[in-house]
This record gives sequence, structure tokens and C-alpha cells, in this order.
Amino acid sequence: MSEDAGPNMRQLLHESSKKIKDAAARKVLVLEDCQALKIVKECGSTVHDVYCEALKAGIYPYRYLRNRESISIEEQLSLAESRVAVVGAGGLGGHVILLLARIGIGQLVVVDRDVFDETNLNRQALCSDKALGKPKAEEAVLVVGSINPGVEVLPYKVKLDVSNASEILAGSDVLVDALDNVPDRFVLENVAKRLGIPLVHGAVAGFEGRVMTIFPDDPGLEYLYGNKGASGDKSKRPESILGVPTFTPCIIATLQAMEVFKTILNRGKTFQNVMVHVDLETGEIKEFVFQDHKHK
Amino acid sequence: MGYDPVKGLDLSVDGETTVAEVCRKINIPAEKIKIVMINGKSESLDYVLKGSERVGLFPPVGGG
Repeated sequence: MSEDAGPNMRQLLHESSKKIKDAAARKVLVLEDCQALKIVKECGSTVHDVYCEALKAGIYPYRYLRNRESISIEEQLSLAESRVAVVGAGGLGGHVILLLARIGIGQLVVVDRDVFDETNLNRQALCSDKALGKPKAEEAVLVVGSINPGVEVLPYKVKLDVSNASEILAGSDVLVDALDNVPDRFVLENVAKRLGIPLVHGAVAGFEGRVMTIFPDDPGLEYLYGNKGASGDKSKRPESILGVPTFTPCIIATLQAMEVFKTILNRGKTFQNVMVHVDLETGEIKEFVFQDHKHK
Repeated sequence: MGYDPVKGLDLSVDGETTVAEVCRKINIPAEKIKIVMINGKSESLDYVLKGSERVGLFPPVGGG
């Protein structure tokens, strides 16, 4: 959360912003990054703080201009003042992190204990040749920094468990389940419920995937995996048999990022107590409804 | 047996057939099924089919 800007920053913002016409010929006050960075230097603040203060003053960071048609300036500020924790920075998480950085979420907590290897290159958005062998959480800092310096990334190169989860996740507005196995997903859901934070679940196998947004009082993962969860035998899991090809995590991650957006801004309709199932081979996106009384 | 998601699988069932019986018929072990959807709504394996439903059976997908 940014401190109230002193008169100096506000004055600098007004001096540095310029009035332009957007694509629909409407007048708008914008602040380009080169100017934002000068203010950062002058005020000893962060880009994140400068963006927040600009938005409060009715000035659009220029990078968000094309968000403007769909997102109000108040909403853009809410996003900038939000914190989202993405647990898992692999196939789903990589795309989720990049999308949330581009939309302008102010703080991203990234949790992943793993390092990149060659088999991640087919689908993981943060993975590149030069990132091989490097920790995924730390790569998120570098990549997000190169895309949007107004986003603060807090990396945790750990496996989330009951001993560390509360400390890492408390204070987040939304959590994203971008994990790659069922037992860890239940650990995350337990903590989310305990902390009272909404959780956006996504999972993939082959060309199919699914999304559900779980609010603290919802049955959530129990709907998807039953009481006992999934088989402990890794070789029998659907994703082991079907693999995880390139496109599936990308579309599921996009749906997850939109759920985060809707949850923070209280817009649209979230996927609560439903499973939105995507089959890329048939092109079908279907909503399946869970009925509580039938669930055992 | 192979399953083609484009075509789906049309099955004729006798009256009073449960989802669990259909699963046996198409050789899917019940313990592999975590979600049963009948015309888009969740039901149990004991649900009795009337004959014109769309049945969705889902395994525990967990990849990321």
C-alpha cells in the first residue's frame, strides 16, 4: 500500500503528464514511463507508488491506455493496490504471472521451489534458454521487471506447506492455485480457507483443462477430487498419461487471471461452485454446476 | 477402448440403469471417476438414467 504522496510528487505528476487523445479521440492525461522514472528518482519512491499516485490524480500511466476502454481509472487503481499470490510458477503460473503483471496488479507473491529444466520450454511462459537451471520464483522477478516495473514481485523459493503458508500468503487479496499435483492443492486450499482468501483453481491434462473459483465457505476442491483426493501414484495421473502440451496451460491461465480480475473488482460472474471445462480439441468451453445436496 | 471427444459415445441403456452400471459397461473403474455430470449438473454414480441424458465422467485432473 502506497503512502500518501507529498505535494512534491503530486506537483511533479501534473508537470510531467501530458494530455493526449486516445484511439477513440477522447482526451486523457497520461504519464509515460520515462517521466515516471524521473519522479521515482526525484522522490526516492518506487514505480509502483508513482503509478498509484498518478491514478489517484486522474493520470493514466501511459502503458495502461488500452486497458482504459474496459477498466475505469478507479478499477486500475484497485488493481495497483492489490496483492495476488500465485502458487506454482510453471505452466499455469508463468502465464498467470505475466497476465497479472500486464493488467497492473501491484504486488505479486510468487511461490515455487523448483528450477527450470528443458522439458519446461514447451509451455512455461517464464522459461527460456537462459533461464534453464534458475529458480522459477526468481525468474519471475526478472521477467516481470522487464514488462512492468510498477509491479512488485515477492519471490519464495520454497515448497508451500502448513509451516510456512500463512506467513507467505496472509495479506493477499486473491490466491491462484497453479500447482501441478493434487495433494499440494489441498494444502493450499486449507490455508486459503483458514485465511479467508478466495482461491482461483486451475488444472490441465492433455488438451483439456478446468477452472473453479473457491470462496472460503465453498466445498471447493472436494467437488473436483472427492474426499480422498487423487491417487498418490504419479504414473496413473491423467496429466502423466496425457502430458501437458503447449496451448492448454495458456488458455486455463487466461481464465484464471480473469477470475482474479473479477474477484478483485467484483465484476461479472465468477466461477463459484461450477467447473468451467475447456476442451481445446473440440473447441468446447462448458460450465458444469455442482449441486450441494447431491455431493457426497 | 478409445474415446473420441468430437463424436462422444452414444449408448443405449435398459430402463433403470445407473451411471455406475454404464461405467462398468464401458470398462471405466468407478474409483477413477471423481465427477459425474448429468446434463451439466453434478450427480452421483448411483444416479438412475432415463435414456436421453448427456453423461460427463471426469478423472482427477491435477496438472499445471
